[in-house]
Amino acid sequence: MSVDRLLDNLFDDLSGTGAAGRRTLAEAEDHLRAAVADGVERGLPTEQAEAEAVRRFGETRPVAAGIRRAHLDLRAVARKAFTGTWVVGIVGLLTLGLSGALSEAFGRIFGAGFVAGDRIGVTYTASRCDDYFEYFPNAGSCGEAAALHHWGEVVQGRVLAGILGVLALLTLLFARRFILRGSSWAAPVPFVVTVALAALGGVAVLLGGVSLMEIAFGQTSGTGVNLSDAIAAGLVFLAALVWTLRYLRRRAFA
Amino acid sequence: MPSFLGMDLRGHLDLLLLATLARTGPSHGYALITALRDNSSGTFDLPEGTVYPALHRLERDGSVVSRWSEDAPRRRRVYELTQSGRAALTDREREWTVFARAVTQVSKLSLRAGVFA
Repeated sequence: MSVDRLLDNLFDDLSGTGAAGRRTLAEAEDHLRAAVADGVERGLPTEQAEAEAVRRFGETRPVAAGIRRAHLDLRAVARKAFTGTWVVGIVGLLTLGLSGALSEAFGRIFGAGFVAGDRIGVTYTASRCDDYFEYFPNAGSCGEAAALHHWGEVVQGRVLAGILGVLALLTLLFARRFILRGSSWAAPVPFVVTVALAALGGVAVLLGGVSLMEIAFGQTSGTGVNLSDAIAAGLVFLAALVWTLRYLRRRAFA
Repeated sequence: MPSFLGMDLRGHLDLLLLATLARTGPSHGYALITALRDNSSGTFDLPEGTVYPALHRLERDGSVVSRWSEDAPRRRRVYELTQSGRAALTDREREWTVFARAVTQVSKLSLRAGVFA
């Protein structure tokens, strides 16, 4: 391995270490050039001196790991964990809000029963039916009235979560602008995206799979709530995936 | 000369670097690791890159300070022992002396027991 190749490897391993990494890279370069010059002075051919300098320097990964540990700032870690968790919460709440909008649309297009209809065999007492008819006097049956009522609850809960997500986002933007200033408070985007990919991808596959199987077997009553959750999670998952691919493409050039 | 490359020197590297710095005066990383190897007659032949995390850690702890030097053909980082570093070196030397004396004492007793068993 050449000195330049070792420095390239060290540069890659030090990625994200900022000023400490830049300084280490400069120190390593000076170290290696000095070691090669020493070797040449001792009568070694340049290539051999370079190979010996590289061998004596050792692996770059432990050096980078040691530099990370030496400059580890626990307060900065705690700050990033705080804003990172906050952003993960915002993403979750906004996804729920999106699902609420989809549930509303599904209810309007396919009927309230598709979103919040009951499974076969579910019955209500007469007094409960009276309650539902009080809310929806024009409903054709107790089941329909119950579905309309539950659809409202499904949409309302999710839209409220979405509004809470928007408020949390605005609060974070305000806090970053005036209180939690500086890069040490910046949310660790790769962490947020990884969590979003894992959690929302899982939700999308699980609930989407269940919904599609239900539809395939002709069970459409109450399927829409899971389907809207799955689509919302899938859309945010796709956005996170696009971000990840673009991020990896930026980092992958040789 | 036995090689201590495989031995875990992490706990002792700080002491070795502080002692070497005290001996050499302000030095850059390459000079330090070379002096450490020469002063130990080649016993502490560490992967040279490991010196930098240790120096950065010592600087964070206040035992050394560093600055860029433009004297050489290349820009190099020069490290220097601080007052606090000298005090830390004295403490660690004392601890090491007690530790080494105890290990020697125990190992000598074991050897004698082995001889007379």
